[in-house]
Amino acid sequence: MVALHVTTPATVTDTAAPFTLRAQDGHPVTLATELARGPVVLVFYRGYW
Amino acid sequence: MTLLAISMDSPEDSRAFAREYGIEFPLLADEDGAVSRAYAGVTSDDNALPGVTIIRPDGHIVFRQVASAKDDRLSSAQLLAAIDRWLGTTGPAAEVSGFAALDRAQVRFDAGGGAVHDGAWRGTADGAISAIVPIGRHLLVGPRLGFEPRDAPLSLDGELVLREPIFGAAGALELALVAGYTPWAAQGGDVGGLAGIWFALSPAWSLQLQGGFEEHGATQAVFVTAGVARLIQIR
Repeated sequence: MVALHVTTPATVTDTAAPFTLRAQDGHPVTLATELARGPVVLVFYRGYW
Repeated sequence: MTLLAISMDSPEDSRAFAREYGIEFPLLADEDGAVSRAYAGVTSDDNALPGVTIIRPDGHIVFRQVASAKDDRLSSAQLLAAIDRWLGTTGPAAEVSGFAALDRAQVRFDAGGGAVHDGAWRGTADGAISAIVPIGRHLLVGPRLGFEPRDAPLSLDGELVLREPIFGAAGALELALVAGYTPWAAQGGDVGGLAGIWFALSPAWSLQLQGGFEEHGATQAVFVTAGVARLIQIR
């Protein structure tokens, strides 16, 4: 069993906040548009340094 | 499933990052940190905290993880496990690659027993040494030396194998056509069919179980064999 460090317990009652952000090619990506195609995994990372 | 990676980098920095590491999924620019703040949080010096959020198509968050320290970040395996656990019912599970034996040639040693019909059914031993080479995912070909002491002490055959991979890429169900020449005893052409299953025990060895029939001239044989194979990486 893989131990996961869950610091913010999530429940299915949490609804994802909408957003639109630009991708590396400059095109806008909207969460709702992506969700219309299926599940979405967001990975937040520190960035390029 | 869509993977979106989000940082507070500009699109220009993300483009350089993607180019350096060959990244093909979207790297989104959350330059003011508003989305990072809403989902994962930011540190006191205004850096986004690393984290993962899994969202179902109806917009419900089913998994959220925030790494408050570097060591808390999920490994790739942990991320895949979380995705499988929370979205597993809506998509295929990650394929188990096993020992990735499908692209390997096999030198097989099989031994067993069966029965020969040359007027009446009589028991006999049976065995074979074969070398088969994969041509794509579903086809293999190669030579086969058969041994059956009662009517075909040696048969020189070619083997054409159709297979369906199982256990990821670590084994297969097979149907084979065998045809060739028997120089002694039931002298003349021979033809037969085999059905079998094999599974790689390690990157170098597999086990197989086969059953089949063969016709040598006027005699028929049915047999069941078990064996081992040496797996050989050919590319």
